[in-house]
Amino acid sequence: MTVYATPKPQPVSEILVNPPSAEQSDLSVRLPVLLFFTGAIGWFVLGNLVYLLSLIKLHAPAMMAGVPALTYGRLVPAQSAMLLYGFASQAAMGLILWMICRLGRTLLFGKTTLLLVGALWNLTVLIGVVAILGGNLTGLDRFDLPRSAASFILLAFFLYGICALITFHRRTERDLYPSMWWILAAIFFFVWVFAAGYILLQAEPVSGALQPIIATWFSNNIVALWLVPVGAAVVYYFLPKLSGKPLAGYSAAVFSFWAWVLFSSLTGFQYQAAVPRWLPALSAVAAVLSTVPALGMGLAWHQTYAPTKNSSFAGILRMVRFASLIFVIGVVLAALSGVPQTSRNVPQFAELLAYTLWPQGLAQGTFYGFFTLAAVAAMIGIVPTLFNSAPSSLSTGKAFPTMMIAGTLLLILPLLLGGIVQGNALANSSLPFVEATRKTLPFVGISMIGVLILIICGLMMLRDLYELTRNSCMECCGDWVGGGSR
Amino acid sequence: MKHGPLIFLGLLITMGWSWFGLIFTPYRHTVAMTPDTNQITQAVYPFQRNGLARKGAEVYRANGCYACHTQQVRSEGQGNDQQRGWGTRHTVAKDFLYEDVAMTGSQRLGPDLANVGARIPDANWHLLHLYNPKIKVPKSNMAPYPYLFEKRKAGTEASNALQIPPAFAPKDGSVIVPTPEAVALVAYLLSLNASTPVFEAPPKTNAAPSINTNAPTATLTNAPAGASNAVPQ
Amino acid sequence: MKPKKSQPASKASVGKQIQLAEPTVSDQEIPIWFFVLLAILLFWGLVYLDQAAGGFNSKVYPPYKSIAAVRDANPKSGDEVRLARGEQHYKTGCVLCHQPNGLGTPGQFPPLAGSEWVTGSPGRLIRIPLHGLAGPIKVKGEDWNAAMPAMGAAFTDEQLADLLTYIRQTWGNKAPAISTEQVKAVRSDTGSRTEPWSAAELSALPE
Repeated sequence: MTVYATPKPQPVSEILVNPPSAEQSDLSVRLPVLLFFTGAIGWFVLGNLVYLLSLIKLHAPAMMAGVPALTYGRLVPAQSAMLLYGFASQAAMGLILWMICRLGRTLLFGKTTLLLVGALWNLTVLIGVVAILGGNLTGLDRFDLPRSAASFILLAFFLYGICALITFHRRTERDLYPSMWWILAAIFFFVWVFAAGYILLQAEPVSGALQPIIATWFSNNIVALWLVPVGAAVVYYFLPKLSGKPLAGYSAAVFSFWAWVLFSSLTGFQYQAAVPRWLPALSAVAAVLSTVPALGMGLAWHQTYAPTKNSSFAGILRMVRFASLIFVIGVVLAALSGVPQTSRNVPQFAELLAYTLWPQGLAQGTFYGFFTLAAVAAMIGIVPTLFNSAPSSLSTGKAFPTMMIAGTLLLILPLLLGGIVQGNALANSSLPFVEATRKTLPFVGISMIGVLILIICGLMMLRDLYELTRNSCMECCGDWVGGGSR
Repeated sequence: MKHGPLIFLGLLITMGWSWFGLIFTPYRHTVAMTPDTNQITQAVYPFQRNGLARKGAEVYRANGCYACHTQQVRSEGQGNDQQRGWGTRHTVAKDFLYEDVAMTGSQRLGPDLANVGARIPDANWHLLHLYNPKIKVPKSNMAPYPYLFEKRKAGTEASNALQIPPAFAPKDGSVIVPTPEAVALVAYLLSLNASTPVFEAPPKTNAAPSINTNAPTATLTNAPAGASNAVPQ
Repeated sequence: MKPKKSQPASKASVGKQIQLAEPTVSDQEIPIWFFVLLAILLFWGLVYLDQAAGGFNSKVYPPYKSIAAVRDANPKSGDEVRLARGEQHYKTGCVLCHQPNGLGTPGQFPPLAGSEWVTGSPGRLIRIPLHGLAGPIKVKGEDWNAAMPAMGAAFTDEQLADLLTYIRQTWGNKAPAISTEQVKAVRSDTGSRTEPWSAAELSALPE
């Protein structure tokens, strides 16, 4: 791919007089964003490899059973930490910086700090994952990092948040596009949710009676209020931009934003039994109410969509659109399957699916189907522009988007179907328990194929990144570590 | 919406509403939570685990057992947890009052363990099951945990050696001895018994299935209903 | 952000990096069905919370629907507690032979449900668990002949009183409760006795 000469960086003092162009913004965020993205993609590949290994172990439990670090119970929190903190959070952090600078037409503040944050983040995740594999588990879902690692993550994010917010404050474009609201929400909520989880569950742990409540609140909100807002910001940004049309409906966007943060923060308790019944009931109602903003967003996105006139971005648009669809479907499914019945004494839909693969499938639907697809689409669009290069083959070709979408579907759908099968088997008292678990194995097997495809996509992204870096270095210095000439 | 500070204020309010409703309110309710003294049996519940069982909880956590096993029993209208013999009453928050970490779990790739100490009160069963789950549950999909055990030379005298059936015993005749982690973990599993009625989940007065091993009609196992003498699964 | 007029996607010249215009928002009215849907779901939500949230009381767990129901289900002080205690004692000492449903084992152990020995004279009833029963006995018109050991000898007066009250007021039996004093009186009257009673001896006692 062709790399073009980099423009000279613009001095900060000039931005109010002469709002930076897109190239200038990109130049100012280049290094931190590339650091976050590289880390993110790297952890995406590693995390999914561990995920794949854990799924293999479900089929062959005795394989490598003598290695404590590879026992299933440690692989699950390890891959969760790698994917949530290593991949998703870093991708989100990079995307936030890039979008603030682009939408706010400003230059990044605190580049050096952010580079340190990136290094610290990756190091912390690495140490945390090694600690997890060594047996230092938290016992809690999605709050997988051990205490010391978690404290560094919080510190790193504080520094990150300050830089991001100062950049935001210095924006020259004072009007706030919807993506900006979601970005502000994401930054704010991550600090609050993670700090609350860290303080109440690790630093000064509360009584065991309260822990299931806080742990459930955390694991729900770290997705609903951190990843979903960044995913929404990405869709709000790329869908109108690539379709070449304005976003349909300002009021709808405002309404959806506030409704989402209001209702989705109360969900998550639908399948938790160790809590007073008002919590699952409240969650059920909140989940149903969350469908309104989700449908609102989905409708606006659907009305905004138009096939892009520029074929270089067709792949990105496809992935973003698909992500938006999966988001809406996921929220509706979660609402439908999360309402415990009150009148009859026979278990209904929600009870049948509790503790099966179904909630896992829904969670993976939001994580892989919505956030990952949207973030990856954005990343393959942004990375070439950071190198001042033409769009990469990942976005111009058809293979990569198709593989990403196919891999995601192959991952999510079997989990949902397997959950239904497992739930029915568990509900059948005359069926021994082991049969219910055995019935899930074929579905898990198909999921494995999806994970494998995603790993390949991750490797393709890494290769793309490598090539861009190499070409950029060669362009600039005529030299490259790996040898070769201009 | 133009103003960052206004948005910030709005976010503060919405976060406050979630935090106040879901964190602070339950916190106030649990801060004064004390163990129940049962009017009938005079038992105090829950109780702080003793040293070995508490260490065992650490082993349970360190090996991620909660990734496959839940510790929450639902009431009869919600599922057949109780029919499978996993408990006699709905799990309540009070059950975790003295836990260092409340590992309620969220997946049932393995059976619920909230009352496993009452259901299978046999330490040897658990040791053999941990060493190789297929010894006790032939179709089990659970991984064996050989690293919780030590292999000693054949012929070594060991009072706590496992009595492994010939089909699963090491081919070279080695003697398998549980490590302190295994012993602690089994002590923890045996301590898992949440069948004591509490105020929030009082005893059912008519023919309640009891977890008491002396009662002959108790459905102790999660074997299919009606097979009361079947091996616990 | 004030809605701006939409701008066409601008392409830089051929061969260069492609830059599209930043996204904009259009000024479209929010469809009314949003608010209709929200109102309907809110209404449903409130009705559902009324049924399912247990009054937002943190002591209410399924299957109970309100704190009043939880309180009702808990044994109250006084008689209910006595019966519950008695049931516990029954499960410890009597259930193996006489079964949880009080119907006994055909051919082996007589039933307690509907038995005239249970609902009849307190004096006769108290003596049976205290010292045991041997020899033939007629219960509900049927002949039984099994030796019953002194299952109640280890119980305290209060425990035995609770236990006997329980069997006298369960499975359809309706007889007055037995008090601790009654048990105490019988114990002191028969203190030195070690042999089990026979049906004849018991019948000879006053009502």
